[in-house]
Amino acid sequence: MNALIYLTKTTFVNKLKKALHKPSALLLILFWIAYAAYMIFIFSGMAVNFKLDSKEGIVIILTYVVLMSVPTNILMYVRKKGIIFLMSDLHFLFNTPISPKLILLYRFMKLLIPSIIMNLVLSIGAFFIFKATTLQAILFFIVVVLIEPLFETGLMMNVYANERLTQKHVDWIRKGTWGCLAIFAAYALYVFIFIDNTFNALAIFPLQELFLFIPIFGWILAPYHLIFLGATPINVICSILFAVGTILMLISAIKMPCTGKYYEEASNYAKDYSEKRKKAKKGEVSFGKRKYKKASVAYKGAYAKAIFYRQILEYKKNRFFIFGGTTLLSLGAGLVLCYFSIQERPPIEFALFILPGLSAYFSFLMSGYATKWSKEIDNAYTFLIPDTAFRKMWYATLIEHLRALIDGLLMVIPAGIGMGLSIPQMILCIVAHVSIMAIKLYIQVICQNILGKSLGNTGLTLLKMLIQGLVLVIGIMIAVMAAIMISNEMALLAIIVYSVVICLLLMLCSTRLFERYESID
Amino acid sequence: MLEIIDLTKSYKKTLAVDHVSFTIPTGRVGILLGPNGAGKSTIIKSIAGLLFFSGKINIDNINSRDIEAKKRFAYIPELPSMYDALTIKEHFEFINKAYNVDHMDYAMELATRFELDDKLDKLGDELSKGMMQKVSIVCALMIKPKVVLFDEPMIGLDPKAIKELKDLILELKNQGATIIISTHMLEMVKDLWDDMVIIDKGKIIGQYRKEDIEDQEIEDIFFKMTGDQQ
Repeated sequence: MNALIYLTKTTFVNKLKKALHKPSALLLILFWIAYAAYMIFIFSGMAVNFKLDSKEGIVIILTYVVLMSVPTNILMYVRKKGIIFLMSDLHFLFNTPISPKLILLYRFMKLLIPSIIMNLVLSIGAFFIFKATTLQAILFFIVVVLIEPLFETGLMMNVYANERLTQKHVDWIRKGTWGCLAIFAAYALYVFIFIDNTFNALAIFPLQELFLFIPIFGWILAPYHLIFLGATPINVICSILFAVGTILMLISAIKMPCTGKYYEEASNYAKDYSEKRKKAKKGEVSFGKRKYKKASVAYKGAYAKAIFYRQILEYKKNRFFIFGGTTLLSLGAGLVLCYFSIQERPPIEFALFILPGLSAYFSFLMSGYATKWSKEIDNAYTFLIPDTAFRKMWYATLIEHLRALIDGLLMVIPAGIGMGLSIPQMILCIVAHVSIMAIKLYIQVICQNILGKSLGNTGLTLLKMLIQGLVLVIGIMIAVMAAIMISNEMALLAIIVYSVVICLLLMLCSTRLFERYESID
Repeated sequence: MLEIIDLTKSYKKTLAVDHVSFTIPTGRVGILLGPNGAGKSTIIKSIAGLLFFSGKINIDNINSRDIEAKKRFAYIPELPSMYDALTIKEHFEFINKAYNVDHMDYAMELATRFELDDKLDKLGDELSKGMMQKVSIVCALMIKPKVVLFDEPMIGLDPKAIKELKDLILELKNQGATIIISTHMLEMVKDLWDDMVIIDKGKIIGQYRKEDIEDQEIEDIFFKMTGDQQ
């Protein structure tokens, strides 16, 4: 126990010291605090707008929160997922003579503490937003900050690490959880069909009492009903069941055998999580372990061209070739724009700027994500291949430009048809899209090259977004000036010329920098 | 003493280790050899308590899952992972508390032998792979274990550290500790071993005592058993 307290305390103090020495980390903390405050503000505004700023409102909200979180957690715990161990835990903690139960509790606390803080905020909100009385707010605080964490801990320990549970038990827990969810869904359907067949059913259903009898999920909700809606025989009985359940689960957690059999699956989850974290730090999106198809490619060229063909081979092994999330996003945006433009056709001078604006917005949103190029510079062969920096840069990024072209076509053609753009106008919009995406790519290369070593990943992402934003703002200013001083068509042309020129300049800069690039890893 | 009794481990339908039993007596150095994919890592991780297996592993006659067994046992994994926010010294302090011992002086002595004494305030995420391996060795040995499990311990170490580690292994042996080393670097362990276990396809294909093989070379025995060309 002493060791775990020491580990927690020392880690916290050292991280704090490090953050104080790193302004970017401090800025990030301040950003998250401001974001949390903003979300609380938005949330309270939404509660008022949806007429949920009442005692019934908090019960409705909590019912959905519980139904979304508790079953998910149970299903994760039975698969030995959800509790995040670090690789260093595998190395140091799992071999120590510290009780496996304590080790599990230590890592669970990391999940529990934020949820306790959220519940604390919610109990303050109960008083200020949901019009609860002082007594109700205090009772709610006792339940969600003191009792519920004990209940969750007992539940987690029993499901995750109880070595008395056989595979059969685990299957029953899984089926039981799905069964309970099915009962909730059936009950919601009943309310919708027989009580109120409008959207109001969503608000009426959580206020019903019968489902409080459903073990675990219903019992957790019972104290909320008791505190905020007043005592009824059902919510009193179910609240007692919740209290008894908490005590029994804690006793069981203390008495259950646990010699560390969970270490194996916990280790696998820790390794997967560590991989995902590494990828996320680089801006890569992780979809778990990918399955690759068999594929082949004929290399039609040598030296730097080989990079392009190798990338084609990699993409051919993917399930959807070069198409991905951005393809869907672009097509979706194109179709939505087409639909709304047919409904209400925007004036042509306005329509001309929507598409480049959207391209700019997408590139800004995606500036934090890694491209094929970012993976390319992790590969020593990109540096070793005997070819010029320009050709390497061109062939290593060519496929990204092709992807941008396809995305541009998918977005511009449907939207352009809906808006009534001419073919030359559509071509200009596609050129703008490809150039804007290329700008994003080259900014990434330049930032990583110049400041990759001195800035952390977060700082680098922020810098990329900042430069990208700056380039876009200058483009917008040029377009606005051209529109005021000459014409709208000239403004569009100005945007395209600007994008292409900036793109070419950045490409030249990237090539020069690539010649003296040092791999960070 | 380390006893492996009828150890079996499957990953879904793949049988990785098939009814393996062997013993490394007290005060001896065992080496676990085998080609890639032979099942060595599975055996190592099972001994270290990181895998759920069938069979039994005893450390000084105590079940390896028992807390008392863990107090006597140390493990040096192939790939060390440090706590990013803990300094080297704080890692030692943590181990001191986790094993409820007071061996900081010994940890410092070991740190000096591995040339870590001037880097004690470096954080885990500032260390090179070689330094991490040295910290991992010090953390494992500072508890004065009775049974030590090394998984590819020489990888990433500089020549001075390799020499120091070899000396330490012999010192531990002379103090009565049981040592098991899993490695591919036959050259590095040829002066250290007393008992050799060769694994292939999840089964033991050869077991030797140094005193029984006369002047045969370790490489010759290994290649003869695994059927590979030298």
